Amino acid sequence: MFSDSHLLSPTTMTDLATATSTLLGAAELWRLDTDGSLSLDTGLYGSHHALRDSAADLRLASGQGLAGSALAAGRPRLFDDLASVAAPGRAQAAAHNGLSAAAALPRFHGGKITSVLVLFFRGGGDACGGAEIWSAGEGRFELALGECYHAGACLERFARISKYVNFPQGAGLPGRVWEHNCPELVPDVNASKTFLRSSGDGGRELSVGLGLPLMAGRNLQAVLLLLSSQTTPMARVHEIWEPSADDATTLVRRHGVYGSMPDFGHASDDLSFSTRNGGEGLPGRAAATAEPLLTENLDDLGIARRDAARNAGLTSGMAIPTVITDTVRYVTVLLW
Amino acid sequence: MSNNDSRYVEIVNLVKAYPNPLGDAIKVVDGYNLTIKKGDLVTVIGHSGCGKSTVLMMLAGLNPITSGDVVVDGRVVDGPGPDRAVVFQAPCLLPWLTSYGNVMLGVKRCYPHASKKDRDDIVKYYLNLVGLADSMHKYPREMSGGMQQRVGIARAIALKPKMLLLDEPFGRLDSLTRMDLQDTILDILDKEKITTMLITHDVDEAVYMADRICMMTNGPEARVGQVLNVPFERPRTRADVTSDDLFFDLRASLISFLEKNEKTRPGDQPAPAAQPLDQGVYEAPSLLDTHAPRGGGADLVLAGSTSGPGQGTLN
Ligand SMILES: Nc1ncnc2c1ncn2[C@@H]1O[C@H](COP(=O)(O)OP(=O)(O)OP(=O)(O)O)[C@@H](O)[C@H]1O
Ligand SMILES: [Mg+2]
Repeated sequence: MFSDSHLLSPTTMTDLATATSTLLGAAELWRLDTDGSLSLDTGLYGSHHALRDSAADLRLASGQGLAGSALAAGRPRLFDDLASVAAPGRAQAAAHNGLSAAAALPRFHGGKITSVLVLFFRGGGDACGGAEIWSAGEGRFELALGECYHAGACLERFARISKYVNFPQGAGLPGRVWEHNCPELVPDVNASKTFLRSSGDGGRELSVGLGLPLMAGRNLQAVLLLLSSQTTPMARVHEIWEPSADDATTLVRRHGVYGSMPDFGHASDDLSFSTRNGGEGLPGRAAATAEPLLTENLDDLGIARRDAARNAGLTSGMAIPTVITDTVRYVTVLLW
Repeated sequence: MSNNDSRYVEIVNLVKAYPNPLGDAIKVVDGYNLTIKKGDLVTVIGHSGCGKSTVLMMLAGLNPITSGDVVVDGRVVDGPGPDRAVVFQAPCLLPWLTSYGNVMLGVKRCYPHASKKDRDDIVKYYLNLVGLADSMHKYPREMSGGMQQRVGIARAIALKPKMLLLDEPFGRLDSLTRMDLQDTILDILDKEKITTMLITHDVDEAVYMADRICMMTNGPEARVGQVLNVPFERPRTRADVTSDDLFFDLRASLISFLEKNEKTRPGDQPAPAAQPLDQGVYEAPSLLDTHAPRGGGADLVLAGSTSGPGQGTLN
């Protein structure tokens, strides 16, 4: 699955990587084998070689490592202390690459977990942003903040207040994601009526907010919020694709946020991806298999925007389908 | 606490629409969801005209519900009833009755089989509770606004309601009287544990009084924007609460919520445009289209619940 590392010369890659550092640093897809253990299917590491090496030949039993912990829990997990959960050596490898937190998101099919997507987040330095899991609080039919990761002093107060916040259905970004079972993108949380969580001075640095419904069959298990700042966006491109109203086998763009890359946004304007015959491109293939998909092949972003992707220095792409009772309703794409 | 107690009051998808001579009915409130635990005091805050009183009046059964449900202690609200007592900004006392007479009026209705002596005890007990032991035989015209409001509160609580609905009950009072009455109500609720909704415009009051603060978005189509849990223990003292750092954090959060709501109105939702927008944002024409399944489509799985999907299938 890793192909085309020739698409970018090492020099351009480093130049551009320093231009914008994303909060998402690496991603892995772990697949459940017939013996009940997890093995690595694909990974996106960019320049994080130590983390890549630490995954080689690894098998995780239920309860082991990040992916195994989510498998054992049967629900999404988020870890801001990798040392206590990651497989031996992996926390050090992550730390070596400046990655200090991770989310492990199980994917369900027919009531069972078939794979676990692991997202690694940067920490330290200028990192500002966060990832949060919102799920139903004890006895209350409201979403409460569960495991979370808030990077940077810029979010200290925001994080402190968030512990006390609840969202009934329809309230705020998590409540809306729950209401519609639909991923939702807020281009600028400070200017949005959807994103109203605020904490005085805290959180002003935040920019893009993405809410992802984490489904198990027809049930919403939790809502994952990925919060970007101007300095360290979660990813450089956020997109939501959905089956076209005229033709359910064609994905069209529902929403896209391109930040400092409007050219890439324009190159995306007339794009669509077929989901027939195994699917076309990153979102099309993810929809065809109803599985998350990771790629380093820029062709997967659509031939029409391959050049724009290369010019912008994009190297990694991830597609997360939202599957409700076996039907793919949306595909969320993150590029960095 | 049983499940019924943690969902003592359930407001589900509440909608209030008023006819509009110029076109479609205007949904003043749309998709309002809130669950209140038995004995909790929820304060409701939001900009003037957003629909706070509208929601409270629907709970009281005094304003018909367009759609959605209000359930109090397992019973669907379909009209006013003595189980929900309302106190407004203006006390609305009967001018020809003393404070004793005003409270007795409700007590007679609520305890039709009690003896005269028992009723007398009840009225005196509640007037005493609100600090009017010495003013039982005064007429409204002989009392200050604060005292009149105390009579109104005694009258409401004497009904032994399941729910107390207070719509800016201190709105017309000076700040000292206001603080005094806040503490009176908190004292009473510490004793009587009545589930209470209190509408207020006062940020400090919203934090000091509440177990939970419900912040409403601006109308039309107002709904709950978020709920803040206030963890201070009860009984509370003003000095303890206001010297806690968290008080200032919660207060600041409320203020910035209101400020932000001020700036953003429903029309500020990303403009429906099939064209790519400026600043690298593309928004499809229909923001929330009809083929997105509505809330009813999926149940929420309780975190950590052992019956959650995937549990038991993985070992
Ligand atoms: N009978 C009616 N017909 C049409 N619109 C109405 C009617 N009654 C109220 N409204 C509108 O409903 C909205 C909500 O009113 P409501 O009194 O509930 O607001 P509120 O939040 O209590 O405001 P305030 O803080 O000023 O008391 C207002 O915009 C008001 O104009
Ligand atoms: Mg009002």
